[in-house]
Amino acid sequence: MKDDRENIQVIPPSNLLGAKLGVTGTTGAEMDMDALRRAEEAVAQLQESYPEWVGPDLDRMENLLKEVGSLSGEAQANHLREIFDIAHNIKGQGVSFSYPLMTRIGESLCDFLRTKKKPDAAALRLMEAHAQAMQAIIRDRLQDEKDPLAKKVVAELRAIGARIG
Amino acid sequence: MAGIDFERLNVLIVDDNKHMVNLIKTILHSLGVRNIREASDGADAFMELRNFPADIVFSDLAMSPLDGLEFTRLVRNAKDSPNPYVHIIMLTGHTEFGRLRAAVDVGVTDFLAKPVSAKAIYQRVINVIHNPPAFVREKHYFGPDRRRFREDRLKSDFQRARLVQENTQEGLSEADINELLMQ
Repeated sequence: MKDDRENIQVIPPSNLLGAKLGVTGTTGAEMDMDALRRAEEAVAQLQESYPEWVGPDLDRMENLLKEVGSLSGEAQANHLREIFDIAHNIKGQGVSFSYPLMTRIGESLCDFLRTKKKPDAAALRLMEAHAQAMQAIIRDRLQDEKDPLAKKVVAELRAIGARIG
Repeated sequence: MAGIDFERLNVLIVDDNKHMVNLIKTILHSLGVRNIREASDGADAFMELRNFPADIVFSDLAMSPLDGLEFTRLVRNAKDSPNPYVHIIMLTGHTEFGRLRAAVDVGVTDFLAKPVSAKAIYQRVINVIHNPPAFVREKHYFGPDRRRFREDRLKSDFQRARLVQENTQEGLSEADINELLMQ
């Protein structure tokens, strides 16, 4: 079948997947609320174990931060890349696992690392402060993004990052 | 409302973050999906597709060495692609709006903005089954018809994702947020 534009071929939608699953007409076009409830319950259970999962990532980040200041060149760049990857993952998963503050701090650290390729003493201190804040959130199971002290800490980390980045 | 029996559905999850893989897998399992494979980046996923006839791929955007964009490009265009028509749903962070147009232009089927929820995954799966896209082949593009992704739709989806992320903690429901977006 040709579209009205020259040399453009339009291949009509295929219902092969629906046929494979035995779907006819509008069957299952709306969500099965029981299935959705089961899935949401499973997610809630998973969220409870997030602190145990993320713990090793945070420990790894702390170890990298202890070493990164004494390195130079490619070795330091590799450490910084790994720190960025951990922060980026935490940023992506925090909200999904009901720890929005982890997302905020992960995002702040990622933004800072994008601007600071060669960290000086102040930059290293700020990176450590991010890591310590994440450890505190997990240790205290702090899931409330509106917690006044946590909000202040996140804002301060961002402000310092913007100032020295 | 009777749901779809997902027992025969094949899903590939591509993400280098094991916690996110676990989350998506748990949701799909709870919905009744039994055949799920995992891959840690685009290259790994492309190899996996050779042995596993996936119906739907949930792929992260930011991965290394081969990211979600390069993976999609390979699946759609490589001569040895196992399935150029497979549905690819791209997971993106709310700060990655700038890369959405690139994702559309390499041929993703749909997007899923983080935070990931059971409801959002369920909706995407239903959508590809009930509303599969037409495909278009032209000189420099092969993939789902891109006219579905008008700029305003992309913007509103991501504005919505950002608002949900920022405001659910403020006590606003998704319905409130949808209403705000209508204004």
